[in-house]
Amino acid sequence: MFDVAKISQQVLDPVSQERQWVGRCRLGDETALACLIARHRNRLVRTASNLLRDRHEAEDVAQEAFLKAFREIAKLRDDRAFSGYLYRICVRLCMDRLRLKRAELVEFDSAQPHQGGTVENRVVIEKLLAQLPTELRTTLVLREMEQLSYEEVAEIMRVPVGTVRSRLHTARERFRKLWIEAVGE
Amino acid sequence: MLLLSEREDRDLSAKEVRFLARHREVCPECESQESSMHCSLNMLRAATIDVEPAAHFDERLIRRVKIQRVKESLSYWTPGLIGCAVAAIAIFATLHVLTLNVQKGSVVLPAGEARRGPTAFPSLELSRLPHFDR
Repeated sequence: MFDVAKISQQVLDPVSQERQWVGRCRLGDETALACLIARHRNRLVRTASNLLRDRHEAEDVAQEAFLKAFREIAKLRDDRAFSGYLYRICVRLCMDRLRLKRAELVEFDSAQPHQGGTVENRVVIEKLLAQLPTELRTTLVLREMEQLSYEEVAEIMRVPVGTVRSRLHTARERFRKLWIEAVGE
Repeated sequence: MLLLSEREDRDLSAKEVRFLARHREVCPECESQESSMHCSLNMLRAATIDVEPAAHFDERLIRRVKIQRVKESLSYWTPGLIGCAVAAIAIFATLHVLTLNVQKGSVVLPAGEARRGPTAFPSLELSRLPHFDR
């Protein structure tokens, strides 16, 4: 693991520092690359884990997001926008995977009906989340687990704030109903 | 119901709080919904995963970035390299064909040109030289 504090000797504010790293990374500087990875890896892996509910898959997605961001770094107009860009790629990749998983889940469910029995909270939550459509699930997780503001969620998902508000309301209501059903079982 | 959802995100105004309190007294259904929403969302928040990436995450990623860069540079130079190779093959083939033509052309030389070999050099016909007796 790379230690950002050791690598960056200069005391700069995080935004200017990141802008500098992005510029250097574009020129092929490996130290800047390592610094960018070290700064964003934890957040990316955590968000992907909460969205996908699978640590290993989350790491894969985080790596893919980094690779894609570094591949497109030359096209980035504003170096300050790198972190938002990276985070957006990660959430997008997670949503793509969730859509695939959901398709598989529907096929699986039609073949094998649910079995009863008490399960742990985390497993229940995973099951409930899996039943929500991808957009609702992502909005709910970004807001409730990642504690992002409406504006941040809107920016990441590229939708208006009003859409986030209505999606969140729908997601909470559907999640509540599913939860009552699960608890009732 | 929308107000119940919004209560999770922001502090309601005094007017909204009063409205909710009054409504709760007359609508047990909304009260139960409020309570179940609160519980379900608390369960959801409690299930937050806070993991750190594996130890070799950075090394693995940097290796992948390097491989990606090599692939990109290869894909950038490949068309040029293929073009050069095709041009070189074309030049070689042209030269080869020209050389073959020159070799073939040497058999049928234009008349009057000096030729080497037994046919090129006429034998000296010494017998036809005038003989002078002393």
